[in-house]
Parts: sequence; C-alpha cells; structure tokens
Amino acid sequence: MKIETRIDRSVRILDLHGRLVLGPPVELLADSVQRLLAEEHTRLLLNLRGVPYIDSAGIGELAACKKRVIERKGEIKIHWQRGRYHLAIETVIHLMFPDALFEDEKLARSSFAPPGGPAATTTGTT
Amino acid sequence: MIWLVVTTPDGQSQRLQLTGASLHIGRSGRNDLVIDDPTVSRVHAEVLRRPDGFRLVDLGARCGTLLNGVPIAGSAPLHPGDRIRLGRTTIVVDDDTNTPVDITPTPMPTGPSTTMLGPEQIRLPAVTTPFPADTPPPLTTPGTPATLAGPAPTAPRRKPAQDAAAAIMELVLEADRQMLFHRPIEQILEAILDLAGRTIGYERAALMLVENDRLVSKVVRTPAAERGIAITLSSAIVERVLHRRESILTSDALRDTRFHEHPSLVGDHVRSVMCVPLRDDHKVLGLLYLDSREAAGLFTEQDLRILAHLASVAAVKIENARLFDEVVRTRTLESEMLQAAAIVDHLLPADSPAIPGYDVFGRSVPCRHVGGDSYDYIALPEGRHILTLGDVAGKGLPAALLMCCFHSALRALAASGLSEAETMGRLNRLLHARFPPNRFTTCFFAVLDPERHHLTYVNAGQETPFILRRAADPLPLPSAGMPLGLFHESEYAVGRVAMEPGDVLLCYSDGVTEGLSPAEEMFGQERMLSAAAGAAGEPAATIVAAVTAALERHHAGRPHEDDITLLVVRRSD
Repeated sequence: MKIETRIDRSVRILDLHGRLVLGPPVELLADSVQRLLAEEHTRLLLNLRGVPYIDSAGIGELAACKKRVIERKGEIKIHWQRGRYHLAIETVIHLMFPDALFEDEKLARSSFAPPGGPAATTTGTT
Repeated sequence: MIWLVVTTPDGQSQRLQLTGASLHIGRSGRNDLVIDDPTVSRVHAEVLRRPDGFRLVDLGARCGTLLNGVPIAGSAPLHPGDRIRLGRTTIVVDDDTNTPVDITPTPMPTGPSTTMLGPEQIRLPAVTTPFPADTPPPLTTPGTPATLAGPAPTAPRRKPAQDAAAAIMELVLEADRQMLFHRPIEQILEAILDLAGRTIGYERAALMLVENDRLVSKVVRTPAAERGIAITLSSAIVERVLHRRESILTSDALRDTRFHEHPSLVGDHVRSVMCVPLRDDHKVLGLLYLDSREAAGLFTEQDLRILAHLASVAAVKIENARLFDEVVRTRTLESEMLQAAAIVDHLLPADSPAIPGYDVFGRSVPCRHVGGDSYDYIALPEGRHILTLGDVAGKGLPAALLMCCFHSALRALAASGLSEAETMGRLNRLLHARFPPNRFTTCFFAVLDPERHHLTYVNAGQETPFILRRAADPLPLPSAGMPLGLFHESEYAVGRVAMEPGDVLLCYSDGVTEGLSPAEEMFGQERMLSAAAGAAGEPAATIVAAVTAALERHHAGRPHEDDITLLVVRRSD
C-alpha cells in the first residue's frame, strides 16, 4: 500500500495504491488520516481507484476514518470505480457514504465547499 | 525484594531472590531451598512474606535456628543484613537496593599495566602444566607489549602458583555444574558472579547485558556499605569489550595519568580492573566487570583468561536460557491458543437442530487457531428457529474475541421476542458501544418458520446467500443493511422468501468465495454455486462437504487465508 497526498485548496486528496487489507495497509490509512486531522485538515477525499481489493478490515478502517472526520466536523468523500469490488463490500461502502461516492474526481473535488490554496504532494508508503 | 545468600560448610554459596509468599528451607528435596548439609534438619525453617515485612519461622529443627547469633523462639522478623544460622550453614539476608553503573567517557588505559586479549587469544593454560602466578606466559597485546607488572597481589583471594591448575580445573568443573541444568536467567547471572567471586575474587562486580541496543546492568555486587553508590566504568573499555570483543585487564588504573582528568574514575580509587565480553560465536551479549581498590596488580593475566573463559561458558548458557524461555513462552502461548480455540469451538453448535421437514448443517474452519466466523441456531416458540452466520472483520484472536461478544449479545437479544429488524437494530447499537471504531461484524440473520415454510431474514453486510431451487436460477438474498457495530444508528430491512420443497439455502463467509488458487484466482460464487447445485439433492452435510471439497481442490494446497464458514438449510422433497 502506498498513499500519496495531494492538496487541492482546502481539500486533501489521498491517492491510495494497493490492496486495502488487514495489517500495514490499514494502519497506513489510519495514520495518514489521523496525521491530516491533527494538522486541522478536515476535508478529505479518498481516491480508491488504485485499490483493487478491500477486505473487511479495510471497510472497518474506512468507517473509522469517517467517524474521525465527522467528530472533527469535517467532510470525507470517496472517489472510486463502481463494480470493482464484491457486492457485499460495495453495498457497505454505499451505505457508509450514501452522498459521498463519486466516480469522477472533478465532481468529487467540487462537492466540497469553495477552495483556497496552492497544490503540493507528499507521500507515505508501506 | 530481598535475597538470601546461602553459604554451606564446604564454602559453596548461592544467591536466591525471595519471590513467593513463603520459602521452606531444609535438607529434604521437598523444600523450596534445599541445603545439602547434614547438620540441617529435613524441614528446618521457613521465611514468610507478610504485609509488614518478612518473618523467619523455626519449624522445630533439631539444632534450632539462630538469627544474628540468637536462637529464635517460634518466629522473628527478618531484615536486610540479618544472618541466619541453620546448623553449619549460614544465610545472609540481602536487599536489592539498586546500585547503578555509570559509563563515563574516558580514553583507553595504556601502558605496561594494561593487557588486552582478542577473542582468538583467549584460551586457558594447560591444566597439567600450570604456570606460576608471578611469571605469566608471554602474550601479544594489540598495541601494547603484554607484561604484568606490579606488586604481588594482596587481594582477598590470591592462590599460590601451585594451585593455579587446580583453580582452573575447579572453575571449569564448577562452571559446567552450575550451567548444566536449566534455571531462570536471573539465577544464572547471579551464579556467574558467585563463580567469579570464588575463583578470582573481587571487591565490586557488575554483569551487564545488551538489551534493545542498550547496555543494561543486571547484577551488581558491591560492599554492603556502598549499596546504591554507582560503579563507574570507562567508556573506552566498554567500547573495546563490546565491539572488539577484547578482554581487558588494567592492573593499576591510577597510574594512568589520563584518568586523572576524570574525577569520577579517580574518585572510585579503582586500582585493578578486569572487563570481559559475554560472547558466543555470533555476538556479544554483554560484559562482565570486576574491580578492586585494595591493591594494584590484584588481577593477573591468568585471572583474565579464567574470567574470559567463564564469560564464554556463561554467554552460551545465557543464550540457551533465553532461547529456552522463548520456547516456553511460545509453548504457553500455543497452549493458550489451543484452549481459546476449544472455547470458541464450544460456542458453535455441536449438533444440527431437529426441524421437521428440514435438514440443517453448519461448518466453520478458522484459518488460524481461532477466527471471527460463527454460525448459530436458536429455537423459538412455535417451532421457529433463528439461523445466523456472522463474520467479524479481521482474523485470529482479536476477531474471535469480538465474535464471542457478538455471539453472546445475539443469544441474549434473540430470546427477547423482538422483531427481526428490531433485534438487529439493538444488536448493532450494542456492538457499536462495545467494538473498537474500525471493527464490525457482518451477519445474515434468518428466522425459519417450518410450518409456513417461510424464511424471514435480515442481511447486515453478509456475503449474499442464495436459495438453490430446482429448474431455476439461484435466488440471491442480498445485503440491504449496514454491518453491525459500525455506526450507532442503522436501519435494517427485512426480506421474506418461501422455502419450496427441495430448496437449499446456502450461506457462506467470504473465506469461501475469496479462497485463492496457487495462481491467485478467487474461488468465486460461480464455482461455489456449481458445487452446491451438484449436491443439491443430497443432505445438507453433503452439500457443505461438496462445496468444501471443491474449494480445497481450488486451493490446491495453498493455505487458507481467511476463515471458511458454510451454513446450509435444505427443505425435504
């Protein structure tokens, strides 16, 4: 699992690459989101298009990320590719993010409140 | 914590830490501390730990028990420094006031009073031809010609030259005896300093081990009056011992003028120092340090060789003890995991329920000792039965612990007479309060009414079960609800399906459909349904066996990476 963080004005975009499964990948996602929240970045877009597989631990971590962001009065949205995962996994993702699933990144970015700030990139890997 | 330093009439001594609530002392092998001294009674005395301190109890010993020279009547309080006399055996009570070891930056001592032996130079002189203590054999010392200058030792221990061979033999035999049997590593470390004390003698000693890349003092011996006062070690000596694996002797440190710049070392007035590595063939485990402030030249090169030999034997024993402890820990963990597996297995139904007109069979195989998958049957009034299959996120023991929580909560709620949707809603809230934020369980919850042949169900995130029906495509019962424990408020839709004659309900965990072949291809729903359909006319257990066999063929020997659970309900024709 590798996570690259892009900045689109007030939105932090996390590009996930690799399987989101129990162990270091899930821990990396948790650490990445917690670090951003600690830096007061509470508008997060998780880009799952580079994630070929999600297991139950990955679903659990997505839920935990949503809880943490909501606790901070923030917003979290998902950029993904419908039909890529098992039906049960996709159903749960739908239920968890009913109004926050996007297949187009531009639409996902614009769904956040108006932006303001330059772009940059940081990287974390596992 | 207190220690007992036991010295028997033959001069043998051992140091024991008093760890339990009591310690029985006597000659009989049934005692905690067995003393091989005919003047000691078979069951002689006992040391008791009480809230207000330690007490010594005489257990009716023939020759009595003396405390600080006075016979005790019954029992007496025990304090550090006390001397106990049992027959001809003496036991001194010692406390474990922590004496630190400071490592001070200093240059390496040089000159004729310093000897350094590399690992290849450490060998004991031949026992049959002892060399006199005042004429040591020549040796080559890195950078410094080796000569042992200085006056004849006036130390606590100085054996005559003719005793040298006997001393070496005594050390080797005693080291072998001490190190032969397994005992806790703390006792081994104490025994090493006991041996060094008896064979070489010292005023102060320290045994340090490398732990997590840090040198940690494990046993420190100092005169009683100096307990708690730090021993100062030269960083240069420590560096050479640990990294060059050299054994170092400085027979008159105070003559090295460069040490005068280091008040902590000079203040210690150390004259003779020996420091050797505790090493095996692969690495240095730590070091052994002895010193004396009584006289220069107390230690000789022969002593250095003896100490280095002792350290080598000790290092092997320490490493073996560590490995032994690791094996014990692993076995304990393995045993606990097997017990956990038995407990978790006991939670799953031992037998299938007897439901008129239906045949039910479930099977769960964890990929580790225990897992987070489960299935259950719960009888309800009017012949109805709850049938469930759950899959807690994650694997192994953490998932199994949460599965036990889920299992108990489900059983408690199932008896409360709530509707299916209410049961799942309450179960969700309960698990949300108990589970960690990133944990949840999926669950297929169904109520079978065998009279009306209805199956009412809620699917909370579980892999889609199917109804296999003759001459029809498999009927999916997809998930419409959030897994349990993820969010506080979740609503659950209830589905209902009629069970026709010959219908087969096939429930499974994702360990079935996501089972991988050696080429990393998933087993998938299609293969699973094909295997189940091929046995759909057979009993439920046969259908489960057919799917399992097909999955095993697909795995082709590849280990399971997830728990595998199947639950089949078949209506009779």
